[in-house]
Amino acid sequence: MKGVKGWVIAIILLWLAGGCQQSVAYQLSLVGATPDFLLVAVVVFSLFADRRTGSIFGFLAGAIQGAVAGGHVSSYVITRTILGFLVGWLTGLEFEGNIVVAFVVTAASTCITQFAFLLLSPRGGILPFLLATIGSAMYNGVLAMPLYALLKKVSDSPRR
Amino acid sequence: MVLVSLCILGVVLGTIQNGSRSQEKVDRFTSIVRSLVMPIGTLANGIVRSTSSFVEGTISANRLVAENRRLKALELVYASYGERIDELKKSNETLRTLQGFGPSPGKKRVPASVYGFSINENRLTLNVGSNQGVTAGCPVESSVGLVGTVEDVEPNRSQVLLLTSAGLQPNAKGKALLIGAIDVNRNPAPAGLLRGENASTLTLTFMDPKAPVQIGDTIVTSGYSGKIPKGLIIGKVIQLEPSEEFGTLKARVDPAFSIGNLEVVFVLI
Repeated sequence: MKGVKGWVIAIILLWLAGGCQQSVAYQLSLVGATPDFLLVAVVVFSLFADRRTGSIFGFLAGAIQGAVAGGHVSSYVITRTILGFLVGWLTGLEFEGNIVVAFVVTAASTCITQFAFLLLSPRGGILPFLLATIGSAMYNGVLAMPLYALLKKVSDSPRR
Repeated sequence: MVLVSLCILGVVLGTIQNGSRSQEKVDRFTSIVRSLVMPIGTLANGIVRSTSSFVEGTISANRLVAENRRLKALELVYASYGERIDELKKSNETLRTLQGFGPSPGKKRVPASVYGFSINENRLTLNVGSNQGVTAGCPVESSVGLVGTVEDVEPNRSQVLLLTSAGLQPNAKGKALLIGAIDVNRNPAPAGLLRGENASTLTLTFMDPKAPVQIGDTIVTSGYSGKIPKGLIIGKVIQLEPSEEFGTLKARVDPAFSIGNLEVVFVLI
């Protein structure tokens, strides 16, 4: 996803994901697992982007999440920027993306990012954190599938 | 190269944010992002709450109608008592002034709507701020008890660090010192130091391993802190861990509030 169209989609996606992350995520909690809309947005968008674009998108998502959550913005920015870079790099390997790939990459990314986040911002209660991370990974993976399908449709649509 | 630059920029942003926070302020970047995200967040929150209320209303319509009738009857009773209480308060204040005691001490309750919650950070976002008289350190309570204290304030927004957050603990910067006490009606009421354990549990540490505490005891605020008044409900003791070696008794406390039920809270200013 490149050019003006790509950045317009990116900004809308970040805005929607930021709003949902702030006000809706905690209300959609299932058995302790909560969705991370901004992380899902980073992974799915980066599946359509190169390393550079993925990094920038990840940076913006991390900055929004840090500002909205009121936590340590550096932890969010660094983890999300690296995530965007890695997924963008994965996309560069020219493998065939589909909704299953989106699910797997998002679930794995959630686990990796949460562990990296744990290292950058240590907190108590490792076991509840682990269980919540696994649950959230599944949750995010499921959310990534329709978003991937939507972005695929938008990116494949011919220009008028 | 881009990756490294962005990470460095992230660290710079974090440093700016921490600098502002140490002065109990919100940095410009954070404020702008929150302002941009707030409208869509409020809209999404409204949609989710309305949908949830609609489904709940459809399922338990009969019960809600009966409850509504009962509450309306109670409201009428309350209104008649309310007028009498207002009269008594006024005459009490007049008598205090005449006797030279000045106005009675107490906290004003500012109602606020919860429109955001960050799970990782244990923070609530409220729709009231310095324009409504809210300042950092103000306690926040719900209908069931203490929820947390205000961490940062903007003109029309504020963030609350929950009681369950490990970050809410006494430090050298004069933050509210949370001291919980067991049942204030006991004389003397044993008091301990309270801190967040994880998202759903608190730990109250007593410096006496034989402190008279039992499972099921209600924990309330001690009032030793200047900002948090006495008697606000914190939760109930669910487990006790005495340690003769360290001379302490640790009580695990189940907080009274539940994050899923928080829609309206009160900031005590």
